[in-house]
Order: sequence, then structure tokens, then C-alpha cells
Amino acid sequence: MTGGRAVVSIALVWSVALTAGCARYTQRIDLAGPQPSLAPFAIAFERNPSVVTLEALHRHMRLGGVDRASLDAIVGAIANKDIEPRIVAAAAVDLATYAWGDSFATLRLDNLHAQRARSLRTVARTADLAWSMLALRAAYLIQPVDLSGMDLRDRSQFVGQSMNLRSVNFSGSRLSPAVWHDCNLTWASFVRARAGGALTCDRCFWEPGGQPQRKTFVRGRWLS
Amino acid sequence: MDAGSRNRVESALDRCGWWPIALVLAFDAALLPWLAHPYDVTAFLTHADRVFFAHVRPAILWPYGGVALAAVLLSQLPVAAFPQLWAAVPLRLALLKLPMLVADAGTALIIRRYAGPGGGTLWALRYLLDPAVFFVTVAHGQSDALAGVFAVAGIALTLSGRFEWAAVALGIGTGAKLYPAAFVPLLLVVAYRNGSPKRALASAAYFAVMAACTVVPVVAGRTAAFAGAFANNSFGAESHRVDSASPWALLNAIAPFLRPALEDLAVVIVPVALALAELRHRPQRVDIARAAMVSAVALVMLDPGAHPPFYLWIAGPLVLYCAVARDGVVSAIGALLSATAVAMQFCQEGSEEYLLLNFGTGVVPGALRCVVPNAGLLVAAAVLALALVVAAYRPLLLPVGSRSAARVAALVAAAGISAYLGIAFAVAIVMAAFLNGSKALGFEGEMRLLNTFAIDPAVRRIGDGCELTYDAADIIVYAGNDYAAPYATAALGYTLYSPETIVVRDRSVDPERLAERFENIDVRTVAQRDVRVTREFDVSGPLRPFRFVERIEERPCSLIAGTPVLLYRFDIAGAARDAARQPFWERFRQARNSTELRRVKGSVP
Repeated sequence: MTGGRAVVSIALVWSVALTAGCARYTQRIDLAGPQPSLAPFAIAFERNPSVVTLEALHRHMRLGGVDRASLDAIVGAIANKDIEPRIVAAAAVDLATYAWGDSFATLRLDNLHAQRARSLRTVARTADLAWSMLALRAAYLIQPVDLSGMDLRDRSQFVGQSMNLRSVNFSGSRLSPAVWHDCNLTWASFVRARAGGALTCDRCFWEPGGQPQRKTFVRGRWLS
Repeated sequence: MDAGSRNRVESALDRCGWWPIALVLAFDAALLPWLAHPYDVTAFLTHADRVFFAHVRPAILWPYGGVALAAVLLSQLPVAAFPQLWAAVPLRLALLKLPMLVADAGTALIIRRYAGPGGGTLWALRYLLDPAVFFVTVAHGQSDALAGVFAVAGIALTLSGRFEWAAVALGIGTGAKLYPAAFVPLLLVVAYRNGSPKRALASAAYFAVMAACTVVPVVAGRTAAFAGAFANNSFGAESHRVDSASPWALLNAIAPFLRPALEDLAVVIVPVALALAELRHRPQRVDIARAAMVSAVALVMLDPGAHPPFYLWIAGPLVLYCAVARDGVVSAIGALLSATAVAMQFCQEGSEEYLLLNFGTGVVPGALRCVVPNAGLLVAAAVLALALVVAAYRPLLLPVGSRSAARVAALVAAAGISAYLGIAFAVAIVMAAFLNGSKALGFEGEMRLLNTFAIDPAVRRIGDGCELTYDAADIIVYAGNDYAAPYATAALGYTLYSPETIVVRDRSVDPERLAERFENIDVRTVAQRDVRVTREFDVSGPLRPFRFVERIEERPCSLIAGTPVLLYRFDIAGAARDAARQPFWERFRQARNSTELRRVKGSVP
């Protein structure tokens, strides 16, 4: 083989390899983009919420790979199925960590739909998930959370304990009678909220830098 | 200002005798009881409390040398005698900072003594009014000044040819913090060139003996913990962390290939190289002081773990060099570098935390807000450090006169910045005292925080559950003695709890039947990871007596990484309260005769 032919052959092989490589890379970039359909890990979790599917979910959420449709599916699965509590707890941690705002929006819609459909178990599950996520809310966060109109009745012990409920909108929501402790209720809205019994908040804050106080919730207002 | 009047400023200060120095120290003393870095200072106070009220061995959990330990314990002796003073925060802060104030005064006097004929008071004031010196000793409360006085004494003694005494000073200083050891290569080279090989060897021996005397009692028996911490910082998880006060943070952004091990090496190489460079001649006073100053600059600026208070390390050698060389330009640049470090601290952590222990949260010193991004301050610090080195070596390159205007201007600059800091803090203190006095104080909360130790589990699957191993060997040692154990509690902390059964020491326990509490603290840092704990169950009963390593089985396994954490708490306030019921001498007499006390058998193997 002459030198010229050798150069042409090498160039040819290089070009083919380069083209194939670029095509493959472009394909990978396309795949990494936003998907309009449900992500496979979300479908798997929705069909069978188990430790295995939760692990896949966790991996993908940690990498930021969750779109709104998948999120709806995940929250929907928790709202509509009887799932092992430890799986719900772990999913709540992931939702609160990686998709705080969208998760609450989905949760609220599911809760409102369930109220209209009189699906009490779905209402209870969404309420519990909402409180679990609120328990995880860091004390320094101030962005509003819209829980208006939700049925948030949940008799679990952890509800209202050392929670940052600052700027949470409870307007028109239903709450369980309880004694909350050490909560930050600064700028939380309770317009037309209802508690089916005595709701008290002890050592709670209602204004920035204020003193901790004990107040009772009476007809939409916190009274000393 | 003409030359005559400039000289008159220096001579006028000299004529005032000790008064200007005494006035500055009095100003410092008036402010220091009211300000403190909440974490750093509470760590010192809580250490003293553990020793006094729980009879924990002094060296346990102490991260510095014996000199710093002695300063903390001796300063807090009145609280040991009268535990009723436990929450007298201003008094405790004043006592804690007193050795540092004395150390600063000592450094100022050494500099005054070595400044040569005339102008000594100006240089002593320049040191005392350095923004980093004022900030660290008066506001922050770290013990850097203690190491600083011995470092400056060591350098000064080297200047005057008393090499053996210099070695002793540097050895003692190493017992406060390790950095005075960085001046030893320079000492050995100067002792060799200006003295003799024999004197160099003797100096090395003196240093080794003194450093051993002050460091070994603290390190003895804990070499594994120290080695582990060193390995973690240099090669482990922490090795990739560059503190935001270190200019490496800038370089790493543009040159990510730099390795932390290389950065650590630079800290060692520069002082050694500077010392070796002095082998070329018989070093004069100015040469020695300059090499020491540049070593100090390198030590701080090249340390990837540098915090803003570390900039105090530069101040002493810098002012000593300026006093010896009568160099006002370097002095002025040094004042600006110190001011940059203080600004960095305010930008990183905020200035309001300095009022937390005495006045709680709420008052922000308006004049001490962060106004420049930290990256900008880092660039400024790096440029100033570079300018400082260039300015220090400029007399070797081109002949420059000694201008007293620059010396006075540098003093005025340093004094102006420190006065600004002092007045801003004083205004904030007064505001906090009037507006914020009724609020819960931060001291007790900070004490609780510091006496809570969180350990995450090493998880191993066993059948349908998991075995959680909690290795707390290096942090619950205090719980092994008869006095401390009753004040220690243990809890399992969950991010979100879901029903499970735990087996503790072969006993099956339902956590929901245990006493519980809900945390209002966002995160706990466990093994350099942030873990959120929302609910805790008290496992003090099942876990007593406490062990170094605890194994708990849980069924089913938690699916939330890193939980449940095991939280050990030590009620230091309770220990102080109980100690107050007995006179000082009776408490310690009982400690010697431990058979009279309830033995917590097998507490710690």
C-alpha cells in the first residue's frame, strides 16, 4: 500500500468513526432532554410501590430527573394505594428534598379531587403526606405553601410538632383538634379554616422575632 | 506634614509612656465581656465545664495543645469554685478572653522593646490596634493570640541571638496552636549561620523538648483520633474542602487540577524555603524578621483550611518586621489585609452572631453588614498579601527611604478600622441590651447544641432487618465516668419515623412506647453530612451503661439514608447545678475517692 492510499484509508476510517460517534452522542443528548411521557421509574413505582421501585425513584430524583407528569404519578400512587409506611416516609423525604413546590401542588389537587369524590382514604393519605413534608420543612424557609381548601385532618402524633408553618396557606382547610407545639405560624393564613374541636398551639410564634405564646384557634382566628 | 512633625508624633507617643497602650487595653477590656463567637467560645467553656462538673479528664476531646488547655481551665477556675456563675455569660467571657488580652499586651511589649531607639510605642499601638488582633481577641474569643505571643517572642529572641530561648518560646507556643513551629526552620538556620552548628542542634533539642512537654500530655492516648483527623483532613472526605477564607478557593475555581495534598505541602515548603534562603549569608535582624513575616503570610494564605481569625497569625510577625525595618508601607498593607479578613468573617457568618450568647438573636450591627461578596474579599486578600511580600522585599531591589509619614498613616489606618469596629459593636451592644434583653439568651441553647453528639449508623442487613452499628468511641468517653454518666442521655433520632421494632441489647423495644420529643433544629451534621431529625425516642434506659460501640437491630430496615441517628446529650447545666450544692474542695476530694460513688459498671470498656 502506498503512503497516499494509507492516508486516505485512515482518513476514511476516522470520518466514519467520528460520524458514528457524533450521531450516538447527539442521540444521547436527545434522550437526556425533557420527556413528555411518564418516566419508566415513575411508571414502575406507580404500578408497584416497593422497596426496589423506590430505590430507582430515589436514584432518578437525586439526579434531578423528575418531570411533572412523573411527579403526579408518584404522588398519585401514594395517595391511592396502601403502601408500607417506611416507603411513604422515604418517598416523602425525596419529594420534599427534590420537588418541594410541585409535590405540594399535586398533593393539593389530589386531596381536592378526593374530597369531591368522597374518597376518605385518599384524603387521609394525602393529608398525612402533606404533614410529613411540612415536618421536613427547614426553619429558615419562607416561601409560601398553598394548602388552601385541603382536608388536612390527621390524628398522627407528629402533626404540628416543631414545624415551620410560616407563610403556609391553610385557608378553607379542615384541621384536626390537637395541641401543636413549638410551631412557627408567622404569616400563616387560616381564613375560613375549620378545626373540628379545640386546636391549641403552645410555645408558638405568630410574628417574626416575637415571643413564644399559647393561643387557641377559634373560628378562623388564633386567640390568646 | 513635614519630617520634623512626623518625628514629633513618634516621640510624642514615646513620651506618653504606657498610657496609650493602657488606654487601648482598657477599651478592649470594656468590650470583651459582651461579644463572642457563639460556637468557638462555647466549645471552650463547655470543655472547662465538663472537666469541672463532670470530672472528665482535661485532655479528652481537646483539639489543641496543653498551653491553650491550661489557659482555658485556669481562666474558668472561679466558675469551678462557684458553679452558680455558670450562666454569668459576661463574666465567663471576660475570664476566658483575659489570657488572650494579656498575650496581646505581651506581644505589644515585645514589639515595643525590639522596635529600636524611638517609635516603640507607635509599633506597640500598631499591633494592639491591628483590626485582626482587635477582632479575634475582643470580639471572636479564639486563643490565637496565645500562640501569637510565643511566636513573636521566638522570632524576637532569634533576632537578638538568644536562640535557645527562642526555641523554648516556640516550643511553648506550639502547645497553644501548632503554627509557631513553622518558624523553627528559620531559627535553626539563623542559629547555624549566626551562631554555630552546636547551637542550632541545641535549639532543635530545646524546641523538641518544650513542644513535647506541651503537646504530648494532650495527645497521649489519643494518637489514633489525632491521626484519623489528620488523615481525614489531608486525604479523606475533608481533604477536598477549601475554606472560604483561603485564596485556594479562587485558584481551585480556575485550576481544579490542584490537589489538596499539594496545597498542604505549600504551607510546609514556603517557610522551609525561606529559611534555607537565609543560608546564603549571615542574616541581619531585618532579614530574619522579613523571612518570619513572609512565612506567617504563606502559612495563612496557603492554608486551604484558613478561617478569617487565622489572619491574626500574620499580625505579630508583620508588626515586628515593620518595627525592626521601620517600614510603614508594609504596615499599612498589613492593616488592610487584617481588615479584609474581618470583613470576610462578617460576610461568611454575619456580625449578629457575636451578640448571640449575651443577648439572643435579633440585633444586627447595622454598620457591620457584609457589603462585598466573599469572592471579592478573597481577591482583595490575595492581592494585598502579594503586595505585602513585594513591598517587604522592595528595599533589596531599590533603595527606599524610611518614611515616618507612612508609619504614622499605617497606625492611623489600623486605629481607624479598629475604632470603627469597636464603636459599631458598642452601639449594637447598647441596642441589644435595651431592645433585646428580655429574650431567651443564646448561651444555654448553644451549650445544648455543643453537648449533643450525633452518630450515624453503619448498616448491615441481617435477615428481615438491619444491624445498626454506632461507633462513638471518640465522643462519649465523658459518659464513662461516675460523675458524667448520670447527666448523659441517649435518643434515636428519625428523619421521618415509620413503625418499626428495635432490639437493644437483646431486648425488643417498640420505639413508640418510649418517651419522645420533636426537634426544632433543622439539621444535625453527622459524619460531614446533614441529617434532618424531626422525631426522637429516648433510649437512655436501654442503653445504660453507655458503651463505645452500640449495636441496635431494627425491623424492618429504614429506607431513609443515615437514620436513625443515635444522639448522645450531656446536660452540662444540670451538672453545674448539682455541683453548686457542694463546696469546691469536697467535690474534688470525692473525685479522688471514687469508690464512695455509684459505679457505673461497664460504662465504657
